[in-house]
Amino acid sequence: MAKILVVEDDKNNMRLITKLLDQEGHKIVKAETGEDGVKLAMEDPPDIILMDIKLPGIDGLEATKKIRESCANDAVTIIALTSYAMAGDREKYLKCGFTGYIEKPIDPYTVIKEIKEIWEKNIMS
Amino acid sequence: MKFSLRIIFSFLILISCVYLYSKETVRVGAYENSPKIFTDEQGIVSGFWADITNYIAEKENWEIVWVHGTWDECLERLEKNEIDLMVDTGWNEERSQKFLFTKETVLLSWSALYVQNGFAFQSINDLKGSKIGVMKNSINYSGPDGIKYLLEKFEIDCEFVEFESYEDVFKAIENKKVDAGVTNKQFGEMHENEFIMKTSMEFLPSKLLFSLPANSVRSDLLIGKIDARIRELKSDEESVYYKSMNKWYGKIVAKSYIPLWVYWGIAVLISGIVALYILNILLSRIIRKKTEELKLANAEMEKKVIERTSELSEANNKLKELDHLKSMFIASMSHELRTPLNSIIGFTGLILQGISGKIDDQAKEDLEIVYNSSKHLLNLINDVIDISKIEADKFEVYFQEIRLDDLLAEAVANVTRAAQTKGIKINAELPDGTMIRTDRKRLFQCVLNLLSNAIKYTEKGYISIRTERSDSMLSVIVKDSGIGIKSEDISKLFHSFIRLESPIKENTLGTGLGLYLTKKIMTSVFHGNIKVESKVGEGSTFTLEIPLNTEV
Repeated sequence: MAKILVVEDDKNNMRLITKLLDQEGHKIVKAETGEDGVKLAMEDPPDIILMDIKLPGIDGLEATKKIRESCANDAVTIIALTSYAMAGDREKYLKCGFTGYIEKPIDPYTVIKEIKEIWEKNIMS
Repeated sequence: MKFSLRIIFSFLILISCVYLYSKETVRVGAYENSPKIFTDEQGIVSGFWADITNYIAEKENWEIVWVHGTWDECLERLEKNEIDLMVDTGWNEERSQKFLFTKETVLLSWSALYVQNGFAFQSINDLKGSKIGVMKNSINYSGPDGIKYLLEKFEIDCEFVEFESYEDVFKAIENKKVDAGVTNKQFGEMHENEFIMKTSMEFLPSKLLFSLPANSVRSDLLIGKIDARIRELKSDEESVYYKSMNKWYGKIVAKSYIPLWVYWGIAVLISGIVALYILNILLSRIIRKKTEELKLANAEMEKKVIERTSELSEANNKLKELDHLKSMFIASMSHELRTPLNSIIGFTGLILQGISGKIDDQAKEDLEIVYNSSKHLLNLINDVIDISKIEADKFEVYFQEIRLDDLLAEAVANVTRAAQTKGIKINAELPDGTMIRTDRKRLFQCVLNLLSNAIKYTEKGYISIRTERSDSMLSVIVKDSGIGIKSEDISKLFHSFIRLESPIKENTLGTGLGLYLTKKIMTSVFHGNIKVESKVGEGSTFTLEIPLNTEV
């Protein structure tokens, strides 16, 4: 059971990921903009942040940078959940403070497992 | 006082008398051979040799006593020691036995044959039977290489008439007493006239020196003094020697030493130089004009080059911009197409898992089709984007250290559901914790492609994946118990948009790009290879060969 902050501006995607996470019984906090995401992460640091990249206002990269700068969240698991899936995108995000990278479209059969693996690996290290 | 003055005066007279008396007397032979030496109208001995002799006498404080005579007489007197010095004597062996000579050459003399004007002289043979006037005892007559000797040598019979001087020889020619005559060239050139003509026969170049009697004790002393003076004269361009030479020979020297062809030559040369000069000026003008034209053309060219360069760089920038736009377009297309697919695949999967509530089997079956088709669409999008990059040579690669077993496990996980659906077993022998430096996404893509193909074309049985590793090569081997590939079709496998005919083709989704891309990635990203072994009805084995030293 984890507290998961989902930063996602697309309502359909938000609905999909929250439904999948709900199923597993996680506690979900939703943010529709990068700014909101940063604010919520500061107020109540979550266990995992699922971060879309393309967002209105500051993008997922910028938001991740800000979240990482706060002491409470310097080791939090932040997973990029994005449709940016060109060659090099994964490497780029992992360099920019993301703990993990999952490309959209997500596989509803495996995505929860992937998230869990990334989170556990991060806690272990 | 008067007495003492008288004494001094007498003393002075005495001294001068003694002085006068003490002057050494030198008897010098003179003959007529103008302009070298001759007696002028006042009876004074003049000419080049007289000037030289007088100069030496003055310097050496000699009293010169000229003893006149013919050439022959002069030589006779010299032999008898009746004169101390003879001028203008050409040296030869025979004479050097009889006389002593100074060593410094005073003049160089050539002899020449002159003929009556109208005497046809072509060669020496024309002299046969003719009368030739000569100067008695001169070297050009009776000397070792004189005319007499020359004609005898050529066996030409002719009569020699001896005269006392060259003047007499010329008079004889003029008066037609003889047909031809021999004189030295200087004399000849000076006295040539309308009746007398020089021939081409020139001979006997000889040094002209002072000669002295062999039996006189004074000779050696005189020779030393004369030689010293002549050296002195010859070393100074302003000396009497050159002035006198100019005075007596000026015209003749030029005439006698520079043949006519030289004048012609000089004239031709000068006109040549003038012509060249004019040509040079003309050419310079033409060149200047052409240079100007060239400069203009060059400037124009440069201008054009600059224009073209800027055009090119503009076009290049545009192309770069377009290229950038294209990349941006592909990236955003990829992003935008994925967004709706995320909903389609995601929600379909969600419903299929029963998360949204129970659905009946019919609906589940239909949704399965939606799910598979949308997955297929995703693959198609990925492949098309990859192809567009590969064809444009813009395939980005990102090498990093990764765990090989993780990557393979993820690929296996990706196809597990499909395998389960078909009831196919997956045997995975994964290497434990092996690290490999590779492009994760691309290797994953290749492995996944082989696994998906294996499941697609296997109806029952198993698929297996395992690795083999040597020092330099990693092999990923994917084997199936599927329908197999006909040997004649194997070569077609790796072409783009080719899907082999097979009994299950209709029911199997495929882009026809998978193996084409896999091969491209294997060769251009990993510098490796892909190999196939297959038997129809028994199954296929695909092997990815990845060199391990690949560093990009």
